Amino acid sequence: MCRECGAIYPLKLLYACEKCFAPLDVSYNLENIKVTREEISQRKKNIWRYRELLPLENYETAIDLGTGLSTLHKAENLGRQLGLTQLYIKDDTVNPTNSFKDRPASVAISKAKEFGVKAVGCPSTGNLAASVAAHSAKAGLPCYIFVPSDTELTKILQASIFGANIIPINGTYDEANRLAAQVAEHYDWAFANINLRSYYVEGSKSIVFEICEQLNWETPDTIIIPLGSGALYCAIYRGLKQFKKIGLIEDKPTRLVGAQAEGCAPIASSFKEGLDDVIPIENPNTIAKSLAIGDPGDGYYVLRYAEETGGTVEAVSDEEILEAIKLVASKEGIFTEPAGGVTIAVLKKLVATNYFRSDEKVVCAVTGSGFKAADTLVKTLKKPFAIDPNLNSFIEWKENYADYRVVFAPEVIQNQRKF
Amino acid sequence: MRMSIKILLYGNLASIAGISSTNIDANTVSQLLDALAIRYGEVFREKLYDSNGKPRRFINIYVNGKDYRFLKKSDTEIFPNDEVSLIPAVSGG
Repeated sequence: MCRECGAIYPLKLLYACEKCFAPLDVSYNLENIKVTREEISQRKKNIWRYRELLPLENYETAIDLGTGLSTLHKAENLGRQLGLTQLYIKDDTVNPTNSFKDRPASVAISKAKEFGVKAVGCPSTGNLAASVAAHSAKAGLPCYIFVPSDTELTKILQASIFGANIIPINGTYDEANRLAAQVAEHYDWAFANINLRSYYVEGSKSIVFEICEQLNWETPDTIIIPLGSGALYCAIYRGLKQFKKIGLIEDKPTRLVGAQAEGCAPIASSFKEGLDDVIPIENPNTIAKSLAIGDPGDGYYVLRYAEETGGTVEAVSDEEILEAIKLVASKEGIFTEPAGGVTIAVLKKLVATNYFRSDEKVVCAVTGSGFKAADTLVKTLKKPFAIDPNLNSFIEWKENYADYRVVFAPEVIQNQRKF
Repeated sequence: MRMSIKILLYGNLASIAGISSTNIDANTVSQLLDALAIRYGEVFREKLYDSNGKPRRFINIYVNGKDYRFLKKSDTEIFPNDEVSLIPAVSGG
């Protein structure tokens, strides 16, 4: 169904609404869905436990690498520091290819298989690349991945190992995105976040289904979500509505907070200025490369939903992101890529403005592993200080260098402002 | 002076026009869109413009590969042999 004009289409490979070109969402007959909490809790621990709200004809043929039911940590140490008694971190670094993108990719490639397409692919800032590549390998489909040429090598390595064709583009993500759209149309291929996008985004809803289930079927008060295109944010918005509609959670409000990096903050800037639409930016420049989308496809809807849910959209600097990566690692043992650092940095920023009640349920989405961005983060690494292999050297080290930390040294960060 | 610009159409715009590539005379993006609407008829015009007569927000327009929103939008000047692409709803992400 068209998100703007309401036109309805059968389930097929479709680029956009044929009447007004707006995005299409899969619609469900929610009145007829009767699944209970007990039934869901007895199912396999993957995203297909929410099969009634995912768009596959037969979930038993799904391309499944085991995505889903990632840990929801109660972040007691970080919560204590920030004065929040019910702070949670949804840790999607533990998915099969180490990011939340396995959720939408699993649904998209499963749907591509159902449609009987010849090849799949996607434009990507890196995380989706690995995920689509892995799922296409499992599905036995050729895969074509378009990435900006400055994408982290670790992400390219991960996608390559699954046998995908990697096409680096001399340009931004938005330019890679446009070329991929042209290629998909020219060859009649199925690209996860282009002509499969209506199905693809459905997979992302599973993150909020899990959050609710893991909170003993309670509705969170606030969720903080990193924003690239805004697709995850919109999926969480729709997922909450659907869970409420079919009676799995209480119908109470959840504030949805969007998190961006200052080097690519078109949605946050437009929200702050009270604009109805997003003004794109041409050349994103941030350490959070997985969020570096200057022309966010769902930005327009994020502005609407942030207003509707009483949420907000905030942006943080690269220095704040690095500090936040260190903070969540040192307090909770979670190593996030910069996108997760954006989430935690926005949390900190909002705490400083008394945005939260101390006892409200706040969930932060940490959407990708730090190792995914290793070649970006390693630029901020201060070379470890070596000692001789004897006890005296250690004692000297302990007396003189005990506060030494090897990662993200401030003086190194100062020298790495341009990533 | 009249000038000939290469137009590339994608998605449903190409289906309605019945072609994916054509040439047209125009001095600005605005003139080019009007000329396309006249050439390909009322159904094409309805796809191109919203109810306020502005190019639909879900159509991306590129002049020589550059998003026209980073230029002068509808007032962007175009010159002989320029290439303008009209691509619906490239959402990505």
